[in-house]
Amino acid sequence: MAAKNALCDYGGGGFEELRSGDTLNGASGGGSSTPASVISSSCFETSGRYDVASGGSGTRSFNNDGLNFSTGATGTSYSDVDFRLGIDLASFNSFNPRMTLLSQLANAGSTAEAFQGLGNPNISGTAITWTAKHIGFECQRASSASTWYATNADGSTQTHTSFTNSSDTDMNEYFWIRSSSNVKFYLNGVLQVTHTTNIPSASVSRITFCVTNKATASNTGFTTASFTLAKDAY
Amino acid sequence: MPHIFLHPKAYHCPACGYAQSFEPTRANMDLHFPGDDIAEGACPSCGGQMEAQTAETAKTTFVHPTADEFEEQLARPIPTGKVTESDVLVPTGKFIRIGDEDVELHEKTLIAEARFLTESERSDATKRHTEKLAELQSKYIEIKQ
Repeated sequence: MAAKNALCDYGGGGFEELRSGDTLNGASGGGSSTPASVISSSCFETSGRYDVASGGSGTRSFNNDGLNFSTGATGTSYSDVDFRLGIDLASFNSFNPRMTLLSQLANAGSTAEAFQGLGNPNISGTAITWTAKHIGFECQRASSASTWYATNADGSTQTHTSFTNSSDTDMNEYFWIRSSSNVKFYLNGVLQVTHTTNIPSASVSRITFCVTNKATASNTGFTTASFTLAKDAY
Repeated sequence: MPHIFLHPKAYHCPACGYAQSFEPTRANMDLHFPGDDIAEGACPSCGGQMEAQTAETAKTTFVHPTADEFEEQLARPIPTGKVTESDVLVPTGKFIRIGDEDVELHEKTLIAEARFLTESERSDATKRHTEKLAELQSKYIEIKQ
């Protein structure tokens, strides 16, 4: 049986076999190209792939919306869902790691804080440890209003910067990309914040979705439809 | 729970709200937006003109344990089994500006955290915290200026 060759769209309509000397995702002849991506993603198909924890009335469910995680109405409650990447950030931090989240605020309580992104900060019914190594998005609920932050920390210090997110009850696309000198944060494709300080480069191997009501008796929860973590292949 | 936090927002675009933690010089923009050919001072998100935040709004706050919390930390039982990084790096304290007093508290924190470490881990942690302290101090000096 003849070996099957890879197909490529050269722009002339239809797909052709990959030509000798081509690079993946790039121009022919081995010239400059955009590297292919390696992707780890999920639409929360199964709960068994995740480490879950909760306290008080905190809960989570995996259903046809994706992942729902919420504090419930009892004070001092939290919900924590972690995805093990199977690889440490140290192995890919120089390959432009980037992450997309599709998420919405599903239950808008009066007081809460939530994190979604790369990293595994400690969480309790009262707080999230924001100094733990992470890159992602932070939502603070106070007086029934949201403030969203682009956030990262290197294990000792957090850098976070607020940005306007006036429709967080809609399903929004949150995206960040780390380069050698910075992390850029986007909301629905629009650049919001660029950070250059306290960016972690190792000892991060989980993706976390968590929320706490900070000891207040109110229910805050999110629906996250999917996430994608990608890196350049080379 | 209090935590160390930094709210740089050093430069922002009043038109679209974009913010970045570095001065938008041509060299810096070329470094952080290579190939995008962004003019000095221009917002990379909407093309507007960025502005420096005033000292009043560019708040930078660091957290260290208070004296009481330091005593409490010392009284914490030493955990058994393997000690993870989060066991020793979780800070407690209140929001305070870094200064001479904070430096002293930071040094006390080092002592408290070192109780939970092996000899080699202690050496690494001391180095890491010493570097971080120098970094915090330099930022404090920059802000004061």
